[in-house]
Amino acid sequence: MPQDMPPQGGYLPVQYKRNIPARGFRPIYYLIGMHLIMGYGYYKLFYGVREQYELAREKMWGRIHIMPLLQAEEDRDQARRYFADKAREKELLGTDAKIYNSDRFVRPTFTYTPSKVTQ
Amino acid sequence: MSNIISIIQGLLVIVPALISVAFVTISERKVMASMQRRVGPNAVGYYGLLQAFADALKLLLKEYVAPTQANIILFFLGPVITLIFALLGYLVIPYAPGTFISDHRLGIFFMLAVSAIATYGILLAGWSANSKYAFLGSLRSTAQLISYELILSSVLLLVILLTGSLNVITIVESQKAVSLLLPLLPLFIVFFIGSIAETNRAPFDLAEAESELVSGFMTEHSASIFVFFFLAEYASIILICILNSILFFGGYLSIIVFSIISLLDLSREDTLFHVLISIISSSPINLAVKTSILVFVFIWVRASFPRIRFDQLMSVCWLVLLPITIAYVILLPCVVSGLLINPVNISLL
Amino acid sequence: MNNIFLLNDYITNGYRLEFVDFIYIISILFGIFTIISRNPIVSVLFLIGLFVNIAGLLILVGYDYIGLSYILVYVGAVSILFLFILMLINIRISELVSETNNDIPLAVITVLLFYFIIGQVIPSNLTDNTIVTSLSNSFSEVYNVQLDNEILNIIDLKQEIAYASSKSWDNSLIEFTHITGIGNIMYTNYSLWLIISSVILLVGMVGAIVITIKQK
Repeated sequence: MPQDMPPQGGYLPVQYKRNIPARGFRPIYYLIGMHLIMGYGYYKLFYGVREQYELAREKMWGRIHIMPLLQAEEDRDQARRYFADKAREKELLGTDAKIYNSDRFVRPTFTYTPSKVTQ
Repeated sequence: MSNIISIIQGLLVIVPALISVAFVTISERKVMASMQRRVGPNAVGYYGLLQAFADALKLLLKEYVAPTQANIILFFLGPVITLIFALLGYLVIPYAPGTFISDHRLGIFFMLAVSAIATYGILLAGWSANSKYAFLGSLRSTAQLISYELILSSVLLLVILLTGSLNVITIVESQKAVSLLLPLLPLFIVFFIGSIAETNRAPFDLAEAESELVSGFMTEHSASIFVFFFLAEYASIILICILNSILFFGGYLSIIVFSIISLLDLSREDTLFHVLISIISSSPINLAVKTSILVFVFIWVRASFPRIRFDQLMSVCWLVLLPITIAYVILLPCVVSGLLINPVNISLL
Repeated sequence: MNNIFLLNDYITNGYRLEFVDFIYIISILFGIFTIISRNPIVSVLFLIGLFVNIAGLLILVGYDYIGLSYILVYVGAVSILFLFILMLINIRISELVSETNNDIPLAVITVLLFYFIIGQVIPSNLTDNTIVTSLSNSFSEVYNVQLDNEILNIIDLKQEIAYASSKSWDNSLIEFTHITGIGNIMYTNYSLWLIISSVILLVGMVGAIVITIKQK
């Protein structure tokens, strides 16, 4: 039985590419248009980032202004604990004990608190 | 107690994500049917609305078959890894102001890392099935994913350059002035092409080219583990559409409403109408609409373009998209530095 | 001292110290499995598990940027290429050929040598039950209960000792992220090393291209 073979010289080339006319503008115009849109985007972004700067500056100055208050409260609390500690020490030992061999104020690291605190 | 609450929070995100996966599959079938002048699924539920659930139920009830020579542990581990890491990306998405699971300061970075691990699921599943089709599919898929991940992360670099943060919410909020689509227009196109390739969708679905490899890396997977792959694929499609809309369209912000507010100077008044407008300007509906449009474009692209060859896929990535991206990676920092618009880079507590 | 406690609670994120031990054990097991498994792919998978584990450890102790970069670079790029190449090898044959039992004594000797040398240098009682450790443990418990409270919640504290509140507010004006810190150091003080390492990378890349180029 004869086998199905391709014709002599092979098949004709298949035309798979479509020859459709080019539509639209030339590519360079699309490129320019895209970059114009990008330019508008950067124009808007410029003012947006300026506003961001302003907001960040405002927040920062707000914090800088409130910081002395917070630090003062912190220091007041620490002073209260420090003097209470001193008083307790005096009650226990009967005299003012110096821990360090210098008169410089050393910020205490630990503090004693009662084990049961009601709140 | 807080553990229970966090579990409920996780479920509140994952369950709607899975349900939306079901509706994305049904919408894909209906939209493609309309584009090809068919009816599409119309038997289950109204207009075939419950077709996806019927399919899932059928698949779950089927018997699962594992090849005898397969590495059984990896065979089942692969789909599980893919699904888990596809769903983990939803962790850092802000759906509305204050509506998110995690406000991690490295949110975008987390998403990249998670999607990098998700690649392993495909690789393992394809290798462990001990089938040439699955193996070739997984190799192709992995080569494609790691090539296109490069493009996605280079574009992300520029987004981070303009927003100054890796936090997703900061990226969204810094688009109140202008959505990043405008300053990064060519990069959005590159990113969108990259995200189609990253999710293995047509015309880049070489991993499951039916005419060459039966069904790609999931040839041997059946029943419920196939459902895992299916869910993971569509969940990552939705996730990457959400990512696109967050990075380039302002996420939950409605840029149009914002520009109307700034034009008419409406924000100063307090009537009900103006309150309503300010609610609309940042509501989850905006994110939903943007994401739905992008998912539609994904389906549209699938219905329109023929599949490309694998060498074309790689040359598009390395010789076309990557040089464009690198050119902009060099150009745009110069623009930013020249206009003195470096974003605020100190993170205020 | 005050700073040590703050740092401690910051880096543990309120997690317990036992989690870290758990991760250590798992990563040691993964490291052992990496050398003793006969199948090279399984071996690389254990190596990836080790990377993910260490990344988890780094994230747990607070270095989340470094941890995520580990996952992104080592797991997402380097090991996937390892795995990629290994999958193209005929596993059946290489499983027969490879004899991994020789590696175990080598590994044991290496580890012993390493610890012998390191043990001379590093003090062994760094994490003993000194007062600092027990205190910081109790503080982490407190932070577990009230994460958002900057000053200690005294009710839940078992011991009769607490840290003296001497918070310096000017430290909390701004917060630099890890990326900012790394970038600042890398591009200013260590810029020379950055340039040298980039030149090394460039040489490596050119070398790879030269090796693979076709000779005519």
